[in-house]
Parts: sequence; C-alpha cells; structure tokens
Amino acid sequence: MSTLVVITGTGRSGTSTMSGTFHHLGLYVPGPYLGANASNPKGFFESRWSVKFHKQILADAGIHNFDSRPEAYAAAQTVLDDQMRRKLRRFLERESAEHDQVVVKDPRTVWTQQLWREVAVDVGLEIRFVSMLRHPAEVVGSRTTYYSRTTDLERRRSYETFNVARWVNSSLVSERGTRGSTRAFVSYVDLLTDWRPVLTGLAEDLGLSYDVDVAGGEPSAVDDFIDPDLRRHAVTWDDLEVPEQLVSVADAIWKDLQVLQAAHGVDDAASADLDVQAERYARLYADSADIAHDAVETERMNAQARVDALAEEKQAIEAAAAVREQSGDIESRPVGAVGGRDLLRVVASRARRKLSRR
Amino acid sequence: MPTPDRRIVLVLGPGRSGTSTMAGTLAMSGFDVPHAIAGKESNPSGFYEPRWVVNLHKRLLREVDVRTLDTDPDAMDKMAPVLSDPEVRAEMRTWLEARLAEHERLVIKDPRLVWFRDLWVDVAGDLGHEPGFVLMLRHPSEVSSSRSEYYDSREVTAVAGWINVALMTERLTQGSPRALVHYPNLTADWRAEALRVRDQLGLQLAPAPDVTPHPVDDFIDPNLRRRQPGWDESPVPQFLQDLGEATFQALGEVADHGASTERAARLDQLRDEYRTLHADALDLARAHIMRDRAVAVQEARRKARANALAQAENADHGAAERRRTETELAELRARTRRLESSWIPGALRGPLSRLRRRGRP
Repeated sequence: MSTLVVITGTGRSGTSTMSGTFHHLGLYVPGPYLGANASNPKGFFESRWSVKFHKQILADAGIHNFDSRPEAYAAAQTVLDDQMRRKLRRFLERESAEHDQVVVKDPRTVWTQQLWREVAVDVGLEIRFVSMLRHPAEVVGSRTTYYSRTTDLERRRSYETFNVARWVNSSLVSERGTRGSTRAFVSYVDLLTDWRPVLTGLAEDLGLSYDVDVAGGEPSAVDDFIDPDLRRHAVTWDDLEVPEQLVSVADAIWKDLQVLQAAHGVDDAASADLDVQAERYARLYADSADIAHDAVETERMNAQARVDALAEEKQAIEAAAAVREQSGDIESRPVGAVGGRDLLRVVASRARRKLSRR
Repeated sequence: MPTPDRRIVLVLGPGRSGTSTMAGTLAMSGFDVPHAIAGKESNPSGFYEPRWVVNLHKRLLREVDVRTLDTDPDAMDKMAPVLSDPEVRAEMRTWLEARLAEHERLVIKDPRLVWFRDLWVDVAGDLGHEPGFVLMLRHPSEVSSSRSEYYDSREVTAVAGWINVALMTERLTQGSPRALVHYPNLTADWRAEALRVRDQLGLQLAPAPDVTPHPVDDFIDPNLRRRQPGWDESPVPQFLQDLGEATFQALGEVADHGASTERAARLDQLRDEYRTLHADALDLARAHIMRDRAVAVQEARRKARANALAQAENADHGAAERRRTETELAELRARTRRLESSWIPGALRGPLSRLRRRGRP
C-alpha cells in the first residue's frame, strides 16, 4: 500500500525544509513547485496544485491562510463539497499512480486535514501527518528592526499580537485535526541542527523508507540542502510586544506540543490540555471582540466601502464599454447614444475619484 | 454672566447610573426639564430627558456611527464633523435660546450628552451661560448588569464602554464647574448630595433641600437601587473587571476629595491602560467581521454582472473600444491588487479576489 505524507502545521515553521529533505531522500514531492525559478528550480517544495486548491477553499470560506478566528475551521468545513473532494481524489490518484511515497507540503492543510484523510482512504493511501514545531516567538519574528522608532511601538505590538493569535489558532486546529491519525511532530531547530536522528525517527514512527542509509551516515544531498545558518538567532517572548493573556495561552500550547513531540504524537494529557487552551483562547477572543466591537465595526464598514467602490467602478467601465461597442463610429452615432456614453464616462470617473480619495 | 438664578446644569453619566434621579431632584428644586419625555414601564417616574435633545443626539450619533457607550478610545475624533457643523450649532442655539426665554434655570440630561459637551458649552457661552456639570457615578458592574436587563446589551462591551466613556467624561469636564455624585449616596441621603451639588456649582435650589417636607422625599425611593454592587458570576474577564474597578475607585477619589494633580495623574494612567487594552483586543479581534453579509452582497453583484457581460458579448466588438476598456480594467485590477495587499478584514478577501479574477481579460 502506498503512503501519503502531509506536511502540515503553521506557516514559517520549516515546512519547506522538511519537504525538501524528503525530496532529497527519494520520496516523491509532486511539482510544479510554487516559487520555482531558474536559480531556484525547486522553490519551496510546495506543489502549485495544493496551493491553488487550498486558496480556492479559503477564498470561498472567507478565511485567511492562518486565520486567527476560532470559528475559521467551521467556516472552512462548509465549503468542502463533493466537487472539492473529486478534485483532491483525482490529484491523489494521478500522483500516487507511479509513486509509493507521496509528500504534499502545505500549511493550509490545517483547514482540510479531515478531507485529506477521507480521500486518502478512498484512494487506498495510508496517510501520515508531519507537523512542524517552531517556537511562536520565532515564527512571528521580532519586528524590532522594522519598527524601531518609538512611534511604531503600537504597530509592532499590533503585528506581533495578530500573528501570535494566528499561530495559536492554527496550532490548535492542526493538533485536533490530526489526533487519532499516524503522526509525528518535528522540531524545526532539531531538523536544522542534526537532521539524521530526526529522519531516522520519522522513518520508524511513520514507516517511511529512504534511498540512502540515513542512520548509517551514508552521504546524502540533504547534507548540502540543510543550512544550519537558517536558524539565525533565537527569538523569545521577551523580544515580542504581545499581551500577557495571549502569551500565557500560546506558551501552554507550545509546551503541550513539545510533550506530543517527545511522545511520538500521542499523549492524552497533552491533548486534553490543548482542548482547555482552545477554550481559553476562544474566551479571550470573544472578550476581545466584545471590547473592540465598535472599532471593528468602523473598520469593517470602511473596508466594505472600498470594496464596494471598486465593484461600482468596474460596473461603470463595463457599461460604458457596452455603449461604445453598440454605438459604432462617431459619424453614424445617434445623438442620444453620445449623451448616454458621456454620461456613463462621468459615472466611471466619479467612481474613480471616490476610490482614490480613500 | 451666570448667576445662581440663571443657570444651566448638564447631567452626565451612562443610563442606569442615577441621572434621572439627579435630574428629577433638580426638577423638584426649581429647575425645568424642557419638554421632557414621559415615564415608561422600565422607569415609571420618567427619565427627565428633554425629547428634542434626545432626538438630536440620537440622530447625530447615528450619522457618525458613534455609540452611547462607545468602546473606542478614539471615537471622539469621529464627532468632529458634527461638532463643527454650523447648522447643528444654529439649531441648538435657537432651541436653547427659546428654552431660556421660558425658564431661567434648566437641567439637560441625556446619556449621550457627553459626546456633545463642547458644542453645548460653546452655545451656552454665546448666550451668556457657563453650564455646570453633574457626573453620576455608579459601580460598572451595576451599570452593565442593569443595562443588560433593560437594553439587552452585551455585558463585556458595556463594561469596556463604561470605562472608556467614564474616563472621557472626567477629562472633558476638568476645569469646568462640576460635582461628581455617587448614586448610592444620592438615594441614601439626597439632601446632603443636593447641598453639595448646590455649593459646588453655585446653584439656587427652591425649595431648598433643608425644607421639610420636600417633594423629593416622595420621589426618591431607596428601592430604586435595584442591585448590589459586585462582579459575582459576571461574564466580564478579570483583566477588564480590574480596570473597571480601578477606574471606579479613582473617580470615587475625585468625587469624595476633589481634583488634585496626583488624582489627575492616576486617571491619565488609567486612560493609557484602557487604550492599550483596547488596542490589544482590536489586534486580536480584527478578523472578526460579518462575512456572510459581505459574501451575499458580492454574490448578488456577481450575478448581475454575469448577465450584463452575456449581453455585451452578443454585441459587435470594435477593436479600439475593446482596447480602451481593457486599459481601464487593467487599471482597476492594479488598484484591486493594491487594496488586497493592504490590510483588510479576512472576510472581504474572498469577494475582492473574485472581483480581481473577473477583471482578467
């Protein structure tokens, strides 16, 4: 039976490095890859197909790649219909036809893990999940260099808070979605520091086989691929400007995930505590939404107005085009149509002015 | 110049914090509530609110989208177009001048009044008056829980709004003649509080509070205080309770002992704390918007456009016209992309990317 490895988890946590490592060890990572070009033919070892597939789901559900809203997961489930299921099935059938170890790397799979699991069963693939672990403070990255002036402190806090919240929500969704499946948690730092023991452990936990003897020290392309300098300096909570209540939740989640990593993916107490943290996060989120209710409404209406203005302008341009096409050349145009065309042009330029003021 | 017998008193404070009791006490002591709204079931003796003022405030707040207990610390910025509108000012002046001609001592009360503080002070100033302010104080847990009961407002939002507006009210009345009054003190011993308000604002009360019997004796019922203060079983998170409590204490200090540099500094510190708390909440909750409505609106528009495009395709295409349309659409696509790359709520991303896709040649 063939194996499907889904590399999932939060963004910026080493999923590309993991995917590339599997590629260099002989597993099949279907291309073409996102971000590939002449100088970097492998890009991020992220299949374009998967990115496109998930982007459509996210757009239809109205959620972000790593949405921070506790209800984002439910929103994503509502758009996973039979059509999407068939699409995924065709992709898996095609890619697994001639390969017995297929790897798909895409952090957006946190929203669709259930679908992947079900379709893998239909196609006759054994699914394995690899979740990359990287400390949330490092994932978010310190923004001290970008926002160095004191006047920027608010923007920096805003950026860091919003992104820690995204890490929290996608981590919770991902752990819950892979519970009960064969899975492994991989520390990005471990992978960069000494990849061989990590890959040996993954082969055992997930039943994978490589085309070189990893444990025996046989030379591999991975030796050149993994650049320990990628690690750079460690970022900690002390480097970030994030509200205390959120740090408390994120830190508890990080500790639970490390327990799960050490326990080869299964630890009931850690999973139970992650459910507690999910409740704490939902509560903090709801309270924040209540507190910021009025300001959020204002922002929402402003953004809606900008989108509406774009739609209005597009309509005006198209209407003007239709009149132009129907009216033919200027000599033969009836007087009434000139008025109509000019009128519509005025409408279009007014919409444009309205838009550029915003 | 204002004299004790010609005076305007503005009563400030959120709903359920005893503003009606204060305004009623003044109304029974020689002040006039111009054209007051009659009582309702939730408050049988009436709110002592001038109908005209309530309607004006409601309309204007709706125009600029500011709520009575708005939680946004920058909400006052949105009031600028209203506060600087000469028509509003003229309207207010006409009304106030006519009321002052009818009665020399007016009490004006509305929970929304603080948002229009500058306008009322200016207009009163034009007419030779310097209004005195009474700020009613009641524990935030009581204000929010009774609010919830009568107005079905969400308690967390109500407490955040209470903190924001209470701190703003204190700041906006600094330097003006004012008295801060604890609602429980007013119901327990209205005479002592009425005397204090009279002395601090320089008012003339007739009949005077020490006259017995006094109509206020029948008006103030200690049972009017419907709840005991405290956060028992409150859904309000601890960090917000703490700030609400600290704000209530700091305002209580000013009520009991008057203003001082130290107390002003403490209130500034609380304003900073609230600003940070609100910014944190906003950062967390940014993505929380009503996606369904936005999606529905865009969907309806998409269908209308699909019909229009189908019709246009039947028409004969001229190459020059097509190029012009394409140029315009390309510009539109560029602007859509720019908007997409700026911050917008997550729920609008879907409609926006569909809009961009449809704009493709």
